[in-house]
Amino acid sequence: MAARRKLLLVDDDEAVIEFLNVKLGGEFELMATGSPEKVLPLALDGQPDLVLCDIDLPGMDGGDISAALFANPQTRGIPVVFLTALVTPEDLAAKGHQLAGRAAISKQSPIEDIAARIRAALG
Amino acid sequence: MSENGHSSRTRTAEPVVAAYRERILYALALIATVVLLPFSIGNFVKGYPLIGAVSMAVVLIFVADAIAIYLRRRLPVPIPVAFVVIMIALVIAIWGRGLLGIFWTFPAILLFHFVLERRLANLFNLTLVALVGGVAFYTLDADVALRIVAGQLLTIVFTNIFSYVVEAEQRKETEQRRRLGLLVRATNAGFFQWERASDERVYSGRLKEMLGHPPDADTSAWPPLPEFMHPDDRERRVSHFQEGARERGRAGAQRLATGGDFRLRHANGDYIWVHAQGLFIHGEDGRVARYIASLVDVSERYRQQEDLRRSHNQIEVQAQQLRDQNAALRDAIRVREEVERIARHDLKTPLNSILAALRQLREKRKPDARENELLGMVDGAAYRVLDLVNLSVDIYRMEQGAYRFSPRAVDLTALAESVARDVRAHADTKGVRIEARVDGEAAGPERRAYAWAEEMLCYSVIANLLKNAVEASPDGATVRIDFSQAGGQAVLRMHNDGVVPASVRRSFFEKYATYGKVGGSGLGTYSARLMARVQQGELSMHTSEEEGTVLELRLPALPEGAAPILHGAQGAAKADAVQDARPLPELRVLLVDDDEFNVAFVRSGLPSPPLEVVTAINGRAAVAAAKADPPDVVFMDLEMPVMNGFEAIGRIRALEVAAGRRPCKVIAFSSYDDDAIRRRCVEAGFDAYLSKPAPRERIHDILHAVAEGRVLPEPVRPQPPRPSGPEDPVDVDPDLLGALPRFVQTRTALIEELRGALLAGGREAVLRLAHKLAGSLALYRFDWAADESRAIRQAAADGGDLASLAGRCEALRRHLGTFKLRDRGDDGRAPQAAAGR
Repeated sequence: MAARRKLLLVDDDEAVIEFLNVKLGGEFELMATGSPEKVLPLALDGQPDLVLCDIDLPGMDGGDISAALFANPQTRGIPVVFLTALVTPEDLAAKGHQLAGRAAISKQSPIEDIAARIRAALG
Repeated sequence: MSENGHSSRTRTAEPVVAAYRERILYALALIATVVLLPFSIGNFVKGYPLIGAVSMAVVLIFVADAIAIYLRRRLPVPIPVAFVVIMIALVIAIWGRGLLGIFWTFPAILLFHFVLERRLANLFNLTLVALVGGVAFYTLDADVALRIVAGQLLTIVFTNIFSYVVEAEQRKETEQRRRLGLLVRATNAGFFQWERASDERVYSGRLKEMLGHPPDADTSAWPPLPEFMHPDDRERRVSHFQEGARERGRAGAQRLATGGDFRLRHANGDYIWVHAQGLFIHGEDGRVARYIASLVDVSERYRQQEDLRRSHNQIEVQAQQLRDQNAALRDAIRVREEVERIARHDLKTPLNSILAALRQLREKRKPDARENELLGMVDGAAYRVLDLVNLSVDIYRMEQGAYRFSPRAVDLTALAESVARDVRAHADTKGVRIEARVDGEAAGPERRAYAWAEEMLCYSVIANLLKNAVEASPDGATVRIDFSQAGGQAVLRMHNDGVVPASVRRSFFEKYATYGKVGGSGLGTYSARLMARVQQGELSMHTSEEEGTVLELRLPALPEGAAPILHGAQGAAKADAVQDARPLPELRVLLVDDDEFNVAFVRSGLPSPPLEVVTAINGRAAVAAAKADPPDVVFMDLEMPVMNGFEAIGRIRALEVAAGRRPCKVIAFSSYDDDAIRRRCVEAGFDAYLSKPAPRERIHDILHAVAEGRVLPEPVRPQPPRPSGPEDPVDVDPDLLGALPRFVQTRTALIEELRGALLAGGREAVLRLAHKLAGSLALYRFDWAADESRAIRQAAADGGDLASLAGRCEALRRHLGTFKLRDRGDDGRAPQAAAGR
């Protein structure tokens, strides 16, 4: 059996982290933080396969996080997927499933689709 | 240790001296011989030959009896005879020697008292007193005689009092022994005793019995008790004993030893379980001088415990087997459902190819009327199989109560005719005729019977009834189908001359009940009734030797104003093709399907030029093709080996994002056709959904729409049913139920915070909080609350009046306090208990 792939979850809402833990914890190895400033150190330290990131975060938004990860050569290759409540799945589909040039998933999507998109982004 | 039962049974409350009578006599006889002999000889010497003779006789009697007692022989001179001789000797002695003779009467009184039975002794003694008194009165003076008599009487009284006291004590002791005996018998205990000084070990009779030996077995050669113990118990017991035996105590003190259970070897080699309770008794030097233990056989208890444990184990094993079977069954059901699902899919795929091929034949060959009729029959048969496959899904839904009944006008007569055509060949071989009548008249184009029902379900019910009727009908008989209307219902009565056997009448409609049909699944009549009932109708059976068998199907009649439509219209696919005259646009098309027939059919409708068509056999090939040469439109099958359509579109979308390309149009193309799949497709990023078989015109429509950038035609985005209000039950994922109470608590706190921010006019805080609520509520499927939160955020972002939004917070808070969970097994119609705070 292949090693489980590692996700770094970024969301300031504990309920969201709890939800993702329950639903994705079986398939992926999960790290989580609610503080945007901890994302880079965690990513450097844990080398996740993917960062699943909320957009609207206190102090630093998803775009900043994505930029910070991209700026560091050690984390540049880690794909970032936004998980957001800002848009509906239909709107996202119309936007080609991306926001700000990054893959994005709506929090309104069923968890099966969220998981499928993560798998697709992991390649 | 004295034995328990035996002694207490044999020793009764008779005078205490009785048991010692012979020993007393023996001792006295010896003493008397020694003491009397000199006096006897002295009497001869002193010139009293008579006294000397009788005293010598008494001595001889004593000697003879003493020897007999010693030798355990019968007494040569019985005691009463001996005592009569003694009395005579005393009288003669008193007569001859006066007061000197009287002194001998006192030991005689004691002798009689201790050696004879009480009454006899008193009789002898009183006689003796009377004789002595008389002789004394005669030979001495009256005063002396009186004192002698008084002294002797007092002696008799004292000895009697003494004996009485001793006997009373003895009776008490006897009673105690009796009770102890009863107690010991009740416990059924055996005893073991060990004396330190002599290292003597005594086993009671009962203990010997417990060990399988006779109660009087000689134990002198037995090994020490530990050697009888089970090897597993020995060390433990011996160390308990040694610890206890080492302790010192006050002289005469008694101390309980550690009790416990252990096994002792029985004479037959088995082991018995005993419960032992020991007592250490300390000697004068403070060391343990004696050890006494009572042992009770508790093997039965251990056997019962063992039996109990064994039966517990058996139950546990059986329970495990049941659990395993259950798991295997669940597994089998899952596998079966999966296989059925796949089988349905696999059946539909070639059926679609058949239908597609027919269509191509019709289009290319321009068939004549006869050929058209033949093609129509094949077409019809293929559609019926397709519908039956779909029906098998519906049966499952009906059983689950999840079937959605969508009635419309159904021509029952046409269905019956269609079924009759199907079974005609079979009926002909039996010479069975089929007649259909409407209201008593032969059915015809103008004489029809309609019901407010579903065509496929009615077709299945009638097919089942008619096939069974033909099968059950005697050769050469007629099966009659009568249509009528009664009580607002359409009634179909199907009669045949056969009779349903009495043994199966009761279970006729039960699942898996079959009769007389080898290989019958027993599902036909069961599903027929299920389908009748799901259409708000009923199916019943009447059978008798005289009347034959009638199956009666009742269905709702047409409501007022409902227009009957002609049977046979199978939707767009069967409608006459209207050729689109417009030229197709120039587009790159990627066609993805693992079924080569389907690829060939669709491919045949996609002329190149103007189209550039690439095909791919599975999702992975499709992703590779899309990467190599990005298409404008993709027709993608969903269920494929290697990589399915959902995963493939995810990767294609990811490629587009990575390359910064405009997303292409991806059309899901599948034999699956239900709301859940359609919804999943839309949410996975498919732009449209086409169910197989799709008419060529529809495919061409899509191509035109793609080229013109128009919104794609329906069914493109079936919106999932969204809750319309706060009263709708919430569909929480079962995995999340554990986290739900805390979730509701934290959300309620957030709503309060949001309300505070709205009232305080903190727009930034409102945006942040409403966004947070919208995201988390959406994930937990509180759809109404999520929409509401998003609406609040949007209103705030649009610059709306914040304070006026506070009322919506109150509604949110109320919703979280009173929401109901959707019962996933029952489509929400029976909500579970309120799961609010």
